[in-house]
Amino acid sequence: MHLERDPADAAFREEVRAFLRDALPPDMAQRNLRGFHPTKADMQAWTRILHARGWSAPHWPVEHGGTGWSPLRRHLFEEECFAAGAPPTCTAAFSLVAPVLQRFGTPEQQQRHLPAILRGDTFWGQGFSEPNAGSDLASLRTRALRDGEHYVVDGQKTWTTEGHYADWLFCLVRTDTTVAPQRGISFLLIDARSPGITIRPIISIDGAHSLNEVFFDGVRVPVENRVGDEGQGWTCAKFLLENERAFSAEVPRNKRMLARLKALAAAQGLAADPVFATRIAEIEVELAALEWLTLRALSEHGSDAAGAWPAGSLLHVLGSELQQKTGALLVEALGERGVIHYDASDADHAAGITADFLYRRAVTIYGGSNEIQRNLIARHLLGP
Amino acid sequence: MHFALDEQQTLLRDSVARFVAQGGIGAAHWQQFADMGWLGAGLPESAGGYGGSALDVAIIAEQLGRGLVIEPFVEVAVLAAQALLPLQHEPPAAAALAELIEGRSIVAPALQPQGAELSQTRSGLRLSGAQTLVVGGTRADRFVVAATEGGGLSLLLLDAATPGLRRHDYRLIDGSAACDLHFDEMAIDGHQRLGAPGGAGPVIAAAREQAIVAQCAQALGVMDLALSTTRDYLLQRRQFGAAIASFQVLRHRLADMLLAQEQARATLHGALAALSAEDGDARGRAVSIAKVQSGRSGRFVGAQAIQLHGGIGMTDEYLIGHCFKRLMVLDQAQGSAAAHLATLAGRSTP
Repeated sequence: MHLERDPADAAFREEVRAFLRDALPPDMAQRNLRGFHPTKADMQAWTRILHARGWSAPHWPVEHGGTGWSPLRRHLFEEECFAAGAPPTCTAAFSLVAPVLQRFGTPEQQQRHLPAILRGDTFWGQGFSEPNAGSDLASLRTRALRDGEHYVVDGQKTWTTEGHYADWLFCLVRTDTTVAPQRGISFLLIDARSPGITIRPIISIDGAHSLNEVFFDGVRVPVENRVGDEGQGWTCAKFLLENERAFSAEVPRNKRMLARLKALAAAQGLAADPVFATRIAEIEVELAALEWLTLRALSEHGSDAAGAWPAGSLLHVLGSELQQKTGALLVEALGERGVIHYDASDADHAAGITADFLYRRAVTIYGGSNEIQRNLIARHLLGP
Repeated sequence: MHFALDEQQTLLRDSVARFVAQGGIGAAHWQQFADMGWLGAGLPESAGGYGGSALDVAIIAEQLGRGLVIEPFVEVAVLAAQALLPLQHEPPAAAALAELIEGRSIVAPALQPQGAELSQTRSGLRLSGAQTLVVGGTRADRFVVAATEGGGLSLLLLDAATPGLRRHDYRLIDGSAACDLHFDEMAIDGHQRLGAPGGAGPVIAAAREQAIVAQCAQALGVMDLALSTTRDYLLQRRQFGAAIASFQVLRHRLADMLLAQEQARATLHGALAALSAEDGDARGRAVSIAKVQSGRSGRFVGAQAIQLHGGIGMTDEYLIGHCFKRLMVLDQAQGSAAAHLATLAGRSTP
């Protein structure tokens, strides 16, 4: 065990900071620091700026356009981007479907989709959950019937984040009803503009439109758009969810939220309140634990040690619960302003705090609810 | 940055684990602690130590914790030794340190910042007041004592047999031996004071940081014992015709115990890194963060371990209550979670 930080990493952080000072438009940063959902225009513009620097997909393998940075440097990069207020890139594209394509896709599928994602040209949406298949994902019922060189897809997906931005959807569909539920699922890439697709907004409790439901009515999907073999969809999905969890501690976001909390507490005269100061200190303790757990997970990424503890689930639970705790304190610091109805166009910073707090009720639900995560942690300790 | 133990660290861990696995480790084994090099593990060769780091000390402490060993390893080999170390250019400190490392004598730390006072009277230096909860003090040959002097803290090295030094012995709830020291206007010779008058504050604070990190490692070992014991119990205990490990509410509680334990481990890593790299303020914060998390996680893991055992967890004969009490004592040592949280919140100074 050697816990010393490498001075070269500090120099790298400086390099990222310098880049952000030059490349991140201040108005874009302002918008993203408020707490509302990012706009597609900002996400796309920022992806293109990153791509011009070769940094739009740091976590991809180098042969696909990744940067070759260590997991720690990718983390530092993300931390600096967050702190500066940079919008995210399309998560569903860069972090969910792309690793699946790199692992399970054909060279043709990779060539068709990965460069377009890298450039910020295509946005993606996730079609996993259904109205009756949430935590019990394997019970999904959207059907894909083989018809010559096509599948014909009928059914409904839901909670598709930024589905209204999407050019493509990746979906889990049932291709075989005669086998065990997990073995009858396939992974399809579906052009979001195919005839028969209807995307409807779901307005979430923050009053915003980021979620969608997606209806499939006789949608024809070429067989060449299936990733992996027929019936291998569950394997792809498990791989994807593990990936999702491995980076779900959201240390950069938690740090930004804590910084905002301290600034707000100071502005509201709460920093001198011993009770409030103590609660901020509690968050600092939890954030330190989260950060060192993340550093450990990053350092062990891909090694044997990574399998010795249920890192993904632990990080997901702690990172998501901390966001909610910090968000609640942020709203509390607003006092009565915290419950005044807001509009995303309000110039007032306070509006974004309540909106973000409301939206972040979702973080303990998505990617496998925290109850599911605790099941996984317990299974690690106790077996099935 | 690399989190897995290297070969030497693994050897050290395994050798301590093997030793404590024999059970019944007590005062009679102290010389063996010395012979195995543990008492000088965190001290430089210039002081007669073995040139190890705080990490080596933490590896030893964690395994002692896992074995529920209540010997004053951290108090003597870390807190007292680290307080003497910067003053080893003074012959009495060097001699005490050498004997401590060799196990020939025990130096117990009485370093609370308040309680004892050193003052200059017409008839010379006098020590008055008291030091409380001196763990390891009942067997000590010497005490390293903090006393206020002027506006600062001075450090004294006192022989246990010094006239005017009264000892009141007691046990803590985990079975460990401790004492209060009362100083009845003791006459102090200038040579009993180490370092400059009133100048020992930073030395004591630095020694406490080292001790806190080692205590956190020890608490982590106790949590590990409590958690693994509880895990085994859930798998073996049957009620309603099934192993109680099949009940989701109990599974989730065990998951929460692991979450708490891993938070404690993570902040220990943070504190260990800070001990070697950070400056005073950042180092102090990282150490306080670890102590807060260790105290909170320890109490949670210990309490839930009892709960998940049900009635058997309440019996003195069974292991799990001893884990809980040991964790309570470790939380109290060198400032409780509550005290360190107040420090972090800017409500008090450490």
